[in-house]
Amino acid sequence: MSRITSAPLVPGDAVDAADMNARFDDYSQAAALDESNLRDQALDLPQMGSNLVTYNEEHVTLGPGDWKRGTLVNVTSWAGIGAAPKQPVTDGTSETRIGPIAWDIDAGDILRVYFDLSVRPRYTGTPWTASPALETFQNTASGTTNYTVGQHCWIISLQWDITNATLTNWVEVNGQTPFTSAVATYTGGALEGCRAAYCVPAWLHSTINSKDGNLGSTDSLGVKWYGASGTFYFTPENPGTTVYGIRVVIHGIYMAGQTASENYLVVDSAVGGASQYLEYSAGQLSAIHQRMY
Amino acid sequence: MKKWTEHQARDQHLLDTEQVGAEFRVAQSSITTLDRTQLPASLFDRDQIKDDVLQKMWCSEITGGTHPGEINDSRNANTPAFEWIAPTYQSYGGSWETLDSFTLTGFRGGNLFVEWHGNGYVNGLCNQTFNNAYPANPKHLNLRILVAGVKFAEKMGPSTGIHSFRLFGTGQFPPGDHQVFLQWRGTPSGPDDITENNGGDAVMQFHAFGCKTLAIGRHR
Repeated sequence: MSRITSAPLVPGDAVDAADMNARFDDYSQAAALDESNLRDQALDLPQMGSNLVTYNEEHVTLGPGDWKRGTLVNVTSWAGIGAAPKQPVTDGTSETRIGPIAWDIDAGDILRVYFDLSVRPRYTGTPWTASPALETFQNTASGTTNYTVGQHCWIISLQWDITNATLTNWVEVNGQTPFTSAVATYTGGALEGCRAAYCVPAWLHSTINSKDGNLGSTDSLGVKWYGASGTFYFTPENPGTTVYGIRVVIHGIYMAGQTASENYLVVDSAVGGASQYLEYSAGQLSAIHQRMY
Repeated sequence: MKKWTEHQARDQHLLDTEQVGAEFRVAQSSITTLDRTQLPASLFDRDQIKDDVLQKMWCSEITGGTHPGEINDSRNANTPAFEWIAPTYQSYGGSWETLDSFTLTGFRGGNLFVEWHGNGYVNGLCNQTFNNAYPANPKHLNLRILVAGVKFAEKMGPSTGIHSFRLFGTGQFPPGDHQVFLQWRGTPSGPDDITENNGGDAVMQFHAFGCKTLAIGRHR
């Protein structure tokens, strides 16, 4: 609290220039005011500055942005060996992303990122029949049927550039697996590393008239237009991180996998190829930088 | 509003100590009881605001447990190589289970927002079976958030395949270190459900992974 501590003037005191200046200096206590100097209810909205909670916000339309789906972009599934290439979301020509920005995310701050994207997985034939995930089930005709339990998916995940504003140094966001781990003879990422990875089913598998634990007939369906969404939170410890850009990437097709104790999503290149692709039309990527307290 | 108005000095005016002393006393009183009329607009920025005054967040970038972000209970390791170590009907018999929980330490009362985002898997092979065709038995991964033991938000949840989900809600709560529970429930097995493959391995039925939460207490 700032208060005036000089002795009061009393009759007979000499009021000279030095005395007056000393008293005026009492009022020049830089940064000395605090809550004790303020009346109750002393502060109202006009006294509050801006950006007290939210420091920065950006949002961008993802994809072509055509809500009538007249213009679409396709992502073809990976049929090669190793990690599936991550294909940035574009409007057909240019990346649709947030940046360049320069947000200093410090300790006590939070970066919240949200996205949604209208997608439709497409396929022809029965690509899962080539998959190692194919299992054998007893069927109701006293034979067996090979089928999967619907563990194939596309992944939509987030990357950021925390190097500089050139936006040429994209890496997975904090804690997000790059899906480049070797899992037996396959390549993928642990489910524990899915901090900003969200799944879209490649196809839907069901059965008809299964009975007494035996599989009836298979019933495979394509996924219709579908609203995928995702979130990423970043709450750094010291030192903080400067974020220059954020983008959405799509990759696939993945299937479930496991080691002795860990679960994974691994690339199933056996089902990949030009006839399996993901269409997308429009969505939004939003980022908000706030204080947590 | 307080102003320095005790005296107005004029030319040829004799100045006495009481006159100056009165001015200073008024000014002193003014500086110790400032009110909004004495304060400029947008005076206070981030540095002047105490922690937790306007709001407070509790964030989990990935929910806890032995396997962060995943369902940690009812896991069955006796599943095929291209399935997950996840709840099967051999390891999970139904009912709500808690995926994670956390405490809203220091919640000062007011509006509470909680969101839960992740991926859910549901084995949809037996949504409609021979002896359970009408009504069918569609499978879902039901999701709900409890705050202080009270249902806060819920949804039917993902069905058939691997999907992203987001569950969120808001409510008014009194001050307190309330507990938040993130819970899931799989649809129970029907009479004909396929629970194992031809090799005798259990078949995964439900899973959730990549789960993360954010709670925001807006105190004012």
